[in-house]
Formats: sequence, C-alpha cells, structure tokens
Amino acid sequence: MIHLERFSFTYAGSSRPALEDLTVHMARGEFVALVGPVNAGRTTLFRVLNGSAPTHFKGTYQGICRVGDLNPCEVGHIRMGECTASITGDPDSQIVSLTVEEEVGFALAQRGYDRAYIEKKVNESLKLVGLEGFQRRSTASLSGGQKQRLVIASALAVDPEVILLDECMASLDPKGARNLYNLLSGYCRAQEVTLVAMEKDLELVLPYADRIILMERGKILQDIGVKEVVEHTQCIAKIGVRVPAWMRIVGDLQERGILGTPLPATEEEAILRIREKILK
Amino acid sequence: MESRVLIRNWSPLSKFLLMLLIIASAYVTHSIWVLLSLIALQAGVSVLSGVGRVYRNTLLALLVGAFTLTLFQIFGISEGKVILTLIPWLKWGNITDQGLYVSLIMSLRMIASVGSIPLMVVLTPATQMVSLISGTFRLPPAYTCVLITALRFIPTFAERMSLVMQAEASRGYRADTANPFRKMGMILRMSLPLLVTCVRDVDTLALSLESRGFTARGNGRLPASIPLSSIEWLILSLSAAGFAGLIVLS
Amino acid sequence: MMSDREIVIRIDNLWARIGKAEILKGINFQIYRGEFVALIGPNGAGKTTLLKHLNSLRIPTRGTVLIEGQDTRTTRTSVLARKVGFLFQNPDHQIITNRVWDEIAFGLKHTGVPSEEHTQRIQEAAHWVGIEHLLEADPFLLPRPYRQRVALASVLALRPHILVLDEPTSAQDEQGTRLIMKIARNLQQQGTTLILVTHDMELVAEYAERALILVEGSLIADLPVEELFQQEELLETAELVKPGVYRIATALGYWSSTNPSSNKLSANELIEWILQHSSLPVG
Repeated sequence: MIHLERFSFTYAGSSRPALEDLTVHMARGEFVALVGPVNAGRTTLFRVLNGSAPTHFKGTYQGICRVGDLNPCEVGHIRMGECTASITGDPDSQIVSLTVEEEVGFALAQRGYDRAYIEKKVNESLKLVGLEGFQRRSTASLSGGQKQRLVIASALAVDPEVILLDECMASLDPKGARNLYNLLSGYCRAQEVTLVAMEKDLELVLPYADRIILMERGKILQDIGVKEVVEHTQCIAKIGVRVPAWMRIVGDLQERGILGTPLPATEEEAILRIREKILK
Repeated sequence: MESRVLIRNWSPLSKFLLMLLIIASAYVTHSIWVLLSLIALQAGVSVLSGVGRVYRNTLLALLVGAFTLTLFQIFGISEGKVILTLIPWLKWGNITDQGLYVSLIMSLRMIASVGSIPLMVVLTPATQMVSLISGTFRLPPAYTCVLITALRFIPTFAERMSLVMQAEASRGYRADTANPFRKMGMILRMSLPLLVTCVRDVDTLALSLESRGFTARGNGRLPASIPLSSIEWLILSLSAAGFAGLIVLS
Repeated sequence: MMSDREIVIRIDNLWARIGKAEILKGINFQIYRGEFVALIGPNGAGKTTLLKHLNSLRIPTRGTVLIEGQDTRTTRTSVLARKVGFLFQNPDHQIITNRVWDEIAFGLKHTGVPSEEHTQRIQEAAHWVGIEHLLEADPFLLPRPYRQRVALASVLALRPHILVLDEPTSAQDEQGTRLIMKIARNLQQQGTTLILVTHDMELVAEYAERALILVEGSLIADLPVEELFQQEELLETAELVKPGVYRIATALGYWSSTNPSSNKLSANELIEWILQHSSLPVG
C-alpha cells in the first residue's frame, strides 16, 4: 500500500535533509508505528505521506514515494485527502465546524454524498469513538479528549484507505490513549486500513502495532516486527526513547544467558518466562 | 423533529424577517401604545424562550441610551406648552409637552427596534446564521468559509486570550488589574502573539479544509437554507398584516 | 521531623464552583518546604483548577488557600508570581516576545528584580535549560520542546520558592523530559518546593515523595509515593497504572517474599532480586 524507496526530503531553506534515504513498505491493514525522538523526521514523513510536503510545506525530494497508485509529492494533499486521513495532536487546528454532526459529515458533504448516507456515516462514526448522542453539541463545548475523538470520528467517516497519526494522543490521559489505539487498531484491521502512527511513547503502541520503525535524524535505524523489538533495547535507548521496564529486565537477563530463546515478546510473556525458568 | 413552535427552532430567515417587521413597525407608527406593545411582545418572547435575562440587560442598556437621547432632544423642541423650566432665573431649559412627547416616541422607537436585534441574535445559533448567510443570501463559498472559521474561532480565541493573560499574570505582569484602560492596553499587547499562534492554526486549518474537499475556488458545499414551517408562515403573515394595518392607521 | 518543617501551602476546606458545577469539593492538605509532591488523577478530576488556586488565578468559592502565609483572596496573582512559578502545559500560551532573551527577562521586569541582576539571571536560567545558544532566537520559530524550555527558563529566572509543573512532559521527548526533571530535582535540593502534575507514573515513582490523588473533585488520598503502588484498589479507583517495574515485581511475588525497608523499587534492584532467587546457575 505504501512504498518508499531511497526517499529523501529537504525543506526549503534547510541544508540538511529532514528525511534521508528511506526505504520502507507497508501493507494493507498493517499498523506501523514510527518511534523516535523529537527531530527524527516523523512529522516530515507524516506530511509527505498526506501530500502536504512539498505541496504546502515547500521542499525538494528524491526517490520514490507511493501511496496506493499515487505519488503524494506530486498530487498534493487535496487529492491525497480523498484516500488518506491525517490526524495530529492538536484538535483545535483541525476542527472546522460549529457542531459535532457537521464536523463529522464535513468531508462527505463536500464530496456530494446525499443526506441520508451522511447521517448514517455520522452516527456510525460517533458511535465507534464513543461520542454517541453528541450530534447537536457545539464543537467549542467539548473537552480536549472529546475533541480528539471527534477528529478521529471525522476521519473514519470517509472510509479512508490509510490513516496517518502524528502524536495524536497528547491531550488524552493514558487510559484514553490506550482506548483510542485499541479502537483504531481494531477498526483498521477489520477494514483493511493501513494505520501509520508517529509516536514517542513506545510502550503505548507496543500492544497494538504490527511493526515498529525506529527513526533518528531522518533515517530509519530499525524496521522490525513488534515481536522483535525486545532484541533492540540498546538501539531504543540510544535514540533517546524510553525503554519499557520489562524490556530492560529481559535485556539484562538475556545478557547473563539465563532467559532462553526465543525472547519473550510482551510483558506478560516475560513474567511467565522469568517465573518458569528462573525463580525457584 | 423539534417543535417549530419555539422561536429558537424557527428557520433563521423567519427570525430575520420578523426582526425587520418589528423594526419597520416601530418607525411607521406614531402611537406610544403600539410601541409599548412591541416592547412587551419582545419581552414576552424572550421570557418564553428562556433568554429573559438577555432582553432585560438589553433594555437596561438601551434605557441609558434613550435617556441620553432624551436629554439632548428635549431642550431642542420649543413648540407647545411649557411644563417645566430647569433654571428659571436664566430662562434656560424649557421642557414643553410637545418636547416630552417627541422625546418619548423617539426613545420608545429606539428601544423597540434596536432591542429586537440582540434578541434575534441570541435566539439564532451560529449554524443557523451561517446557513442564512450562505444558503439564503448566497454569499460565495470562500467568504462563507472565512465566516465559519471566524465564528468557529471566536470561543477558541477568547479562551486563549484568557489563558495568555493568566500565564502573564503568573509571571508578574499586572494582567489582573481592575483598571479598564490598562486592561484594554494589555489585551492589545497580548493580541499580537495570540495572532501569531492563530495564524499558524488558520494555516493548518486551511490545510485540513482542503484535504477534506473544501477548496475556495471549487464547488464547496455549504449549509443549505432551512425551509420555513407552517407555524412560521402563519406568524409571519399575521405580523405582515399587522404591519400593513399600522401603515394604514398612521 | 515533619512538624519542624515550614508549611508553604495550606489548603483548608477548599471548594471551587464553576457555573453550576462543583469542581473541587472540600480539599484539605498542607505542603511543606522542599517537598516534591505529585498531583495525579484522571482528566477532568479538577487538577488544573486546583493548581490555579495556588497563585490566585482562581479564588476559592469556600475555604482558604494560604501561600507562605498569604491568603490568595487578598493577594494578586502578579504579586504571588514572586513566590509561585508556573510552567504551563502549553508554552504557546505564555510566549509573547520575539527574542528568547526578552522572554526570559519579561518576568524579571515585572516582578521588580533590579536591572543589574537581569543579565546574570537570564544567562543562568538559559544555561540550566540548555538554551544558551538560542538567546537571540525568535521563540515562535523554535520547535515545541524548545519553546517549553524557554518558558521554563523564564520562570526559573524568577527563582520561585514553589515551582508548579503542569504536565511538563507532554511537549517533550524522553531526553527533554529527563532534563526538566533533573532541573526539578536540583531545585528541590536547593530548597524549592515542587508540585508536579503528570500522567507519567514512572516519573512520579522516580522523583516525587508524596502523591495527592484527585478524583472527581475530591482528594481521595494523600500518601507517600512508596505506599501508592501497593494500594491496588486506590490505583484502580483513580485509573492509575503502576510503573512497569512495580507491575512485574507484583506479578513475580516480590512483595510477598521480601520485607524491604523501602517500597521503592528500581529495575536494577528487581533484577538483583531475580538473580538472588534464581534456580539456575548464573553464568
């Protein structure tokens, strides 16, 4: 679904590339999380994939970039908006309407769908994110967490093929964030939608993602399945991302050679393994 | 389906037309009783719609304005019988019965007509207003887009302004002053950085709008006009008839 | 002992009403000088409202708030600014100049710090947060984590006695977070009282000594952090998740098999314990 080959992007007026020589492929229905520190290039990749770079965020690119059959760098965000949905962590800069139902139905109304269909999709989407009954509420009266869910409902209403998330859990508490990732990953798996999430909290996405890509300074350092992440704790620590406690413990015990193979891939597995193999 | 008996649920066009009729009636009639009835009518509507307090505040504000107008006007009319002289030994400040009558009519006219505007505004949710301006009056999509964005941003802007003032007070800035002039100056000073963040947001917002299919040049679809219900037609007709009657009588 | 320490914040029967809703219901607590207190609870519990009472941005509907003995009802925020420093969650709500130097100087000017001291304080604060090289930059053009550091520097320059950090990590990556927390700890050692609002339980476990738990406007618990992670029911009511180390330790039966002098546990300590109780020869 998404293909990048030796792709580089440099913002206008900058001497260093924001993305350097990226090669990555993402299949339909996959949930890929891109994890890295602040200047890793995640937001730039987000903008490239949704077509706003270089169309809106000026710059130059090299290499191949494909989302479906389209090259987002050429077609731009207006065209990409028809098949991808982009969600950032600041709902206030994405909400355009005065009421909830108008907001969720906005993109559909623009594309000319009839009222009955729009109403159906609006109700479905609001139900999915847990905002049932909020149709008539004014968008200004919602809390931060509710606004974020509203933005997600708006994205789901258009049945996108790709959903892009850029640190979208900032205004939520941990429980809310987990609920949303759970919801989104379930939805995307069922609907065969490719979900690409830029995150800085590895432990948050680990239970939901299929793949983790570690990035630093515009480059991809590792592109691994979620079960292999535990083998790369040193890389994770090196790029300045917090290593989950269980991974640190597993990494240490593995160095002493007492954990056995293959390495446990989740916290639960780690606990079981330690119990079985180590403790009296 | 919500009941159209409530004026709040009326089509915005009806409310707009009703407002026009009220304003026009206020200026057509010469009768104090008609004007008082118009004011009583609006007061009644406001109370029944749950916005009685808003109308009361409007009335108070307008009374102040009316009083000021009266002061200027009342000494300008010298026809008629003199009722009262303010400063007898200077022969200045004659208040005549004619002057009183004219001032009274003017004040009541102002209250009856101008008072209808905030009343209708508070009874018209923003979405209806947008629908009125874009759907009925057919403002071009680009302008409606700007209007929606502005309306959508007013609460956000107000909230942010408040947050910024709090943040600066927390750093020692006398944002918590009671002095209104100082407060004004401060709001202006704070507006600039707020505008910067808002412009950034508007930029992202424009991006969001375009990605979701709304382009200024394209066939952006906007809230359509809301059709009138039978109750509205009835009341509008009666009001129009009443208005016609007033013209005839005057 | 606790009783010898000076009370810097005293909250008595605090009720706060906004519109028709009671946001805070009868809150009571005292904070002593030099304490590092975490204020935690789910979103919407009233944490931000409570914080605003600390520098009279909000006045109690009922009850009193005393900051170093001063009643917030009769003391203006701009005056309390000399004692209470606030780092807000969103730096964009605070930055109002277009030079980092001026931004840091802003608070100094308005709290009456003599101008001879400005340069030293500004450089000092900038150094602490690692932005000495950005003093001439336009804060609006810096990336968000740096904007927050500028905001922090401008607050630190005022040398507040009490520093409130409202979700300082949401705008930062791990490195930035560690930097801010290190600064907080250094300040604590110099006598500053710290109040941290966060959802990050690992930070609470590592830096805070005491936890105030707010749920739906009520203070449901006020306890040392070490005890917090032992209270399963409390954690569930407050929708809090234990840090990973504590979760694993509980699952492995660490607490029942040992009688540790402290309930604080680090990953290394847990590993030590695992190795000690290992049935395998350690190679």
